[in-house]
Amino acid sequence: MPTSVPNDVVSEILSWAPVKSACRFRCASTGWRALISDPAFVAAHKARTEPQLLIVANSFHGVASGGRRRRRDLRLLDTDGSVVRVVKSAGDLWTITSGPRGPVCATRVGGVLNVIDLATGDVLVTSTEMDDGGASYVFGIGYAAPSGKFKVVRLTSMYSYADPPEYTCDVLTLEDGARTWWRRESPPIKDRVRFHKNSVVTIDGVLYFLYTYSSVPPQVGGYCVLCLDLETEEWKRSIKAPVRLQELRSETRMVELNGTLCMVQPEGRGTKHACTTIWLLTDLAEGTWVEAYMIPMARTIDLVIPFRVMHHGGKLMCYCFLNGPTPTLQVYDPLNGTCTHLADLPGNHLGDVAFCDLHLECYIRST
Amino acid sequence: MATREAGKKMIMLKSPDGMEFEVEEAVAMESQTIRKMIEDDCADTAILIPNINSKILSRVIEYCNKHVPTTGATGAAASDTVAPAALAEDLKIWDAEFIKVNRATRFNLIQAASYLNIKGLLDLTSQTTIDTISDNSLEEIRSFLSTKNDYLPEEEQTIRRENQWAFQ
Repeated sequence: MPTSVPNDVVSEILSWAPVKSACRFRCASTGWRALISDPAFVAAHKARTEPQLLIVANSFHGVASGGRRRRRDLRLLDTDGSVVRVVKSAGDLWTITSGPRGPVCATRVGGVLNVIDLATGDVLVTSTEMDDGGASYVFGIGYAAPSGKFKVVRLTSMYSYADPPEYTCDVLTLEDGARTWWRRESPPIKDRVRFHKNSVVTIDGVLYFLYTYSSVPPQVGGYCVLCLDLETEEWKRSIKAPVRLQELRSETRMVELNGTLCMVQPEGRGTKHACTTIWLLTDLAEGTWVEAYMIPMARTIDLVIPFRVMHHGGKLMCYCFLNGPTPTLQVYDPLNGTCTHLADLPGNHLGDVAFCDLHLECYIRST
Repeated sequence: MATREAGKKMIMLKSPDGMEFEVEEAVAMESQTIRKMIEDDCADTAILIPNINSKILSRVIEYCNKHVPTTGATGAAASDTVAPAALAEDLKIWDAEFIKVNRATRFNLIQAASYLNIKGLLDLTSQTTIDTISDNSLEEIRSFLSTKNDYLPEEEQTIRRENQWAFQ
């Protein structure tokens, strides 16, 4: 029988276990279950280990019955492709955002919106009356604290012969059966704008919408970000995009990177100088952007979207679209400027794949 | 306080089994615990390190010697000729050799690193250990870290069901 191991050594070692292993180790003994559920341990674990990265994707199951519309399943996959969880009949994946206890996924089935806890697969709230996302709508969703409600925000562009067009903002507070959209203050826009539907981000209770504006004359234009506080439902001061990005030459995306707003811009696609530049918003109040990464892109890569800065060595996890059939996950090392392949992904449409990070706390709170 | 080599401050560390180790202050200060003692002026003569025997303490000092940032006259010369990346690579290889020790020594090193608060050593020892066991079966883990399965059968069934995904 091996000699006993001091408790502090056990705690030290286990605090380095990957999330999946830590969950498994809870089954070893009652003492370990208590240790791994302890808030101090959970906090130490979060500071040391990478969260579990899950790929969230839609899949079909069964056959359509009795003429009813098929509801798609939601599959949560490990980066090695193994299925961690299946949420049956969850609906069409819309987006992932942070909830009070970790990441949640918003799905739609026709006009019904579901918010699903990704650690447990439980449906947190179901709501009706999401309008069909017509060409003139852009939607965002986020969690408002301290009121503790998920809210959906809808911006509408109403074009008429009058110039500029009218822009309106409506908010739906998600509660079971909620169906009323409340008109709020119009977004602070003066020019003719175009919203970017794939560049809506929620961070810490603020919803950010990226848009491009143009006004003639004089011939000026550029990218700008609207900021809506989800708790007060009031617009904050808009943020101008980085100066170099204002040249409007290529499609820009706005994403979240470890809790920071960031702009992603590919340049010189298909040439040997192709690269993706990533700006981070380092000062929210001042609207200061810092050019943080320049990722060289192989000719076969069409688009690189970063989604996490890793704990060790500041490496960047990226989602790469290729000119081929399957997108891949790559890890970019800023020290030597190279990308390494991590995993292939199912499907080739961004709309069908999303990512979420689950820390140990998401699982501890859920049991 | 002892001094040597043109003004380099030396510190005396004592293990509970009576051994004494004279180390440069900069090396000793790799330990945040010792750093605090020195800064609070509690380290005039010798510092007694409780619970860490001389064998382990000498290994810890060996680690700190290797990892102390190279500053000052000799250090500047070294970093002039060696690129930082190469230096980091060299340290990595050294660390990998350093950690090739038996189970009991590994645990003693973790405990020492934890008490002395040496982040690099704690990271190295714990991370290396978890890397070797995180994919092992529960039985293997229990025996390696000596914990007993004290679940009642129905309790075990419940917790296993809750965490079933982690066994796949």
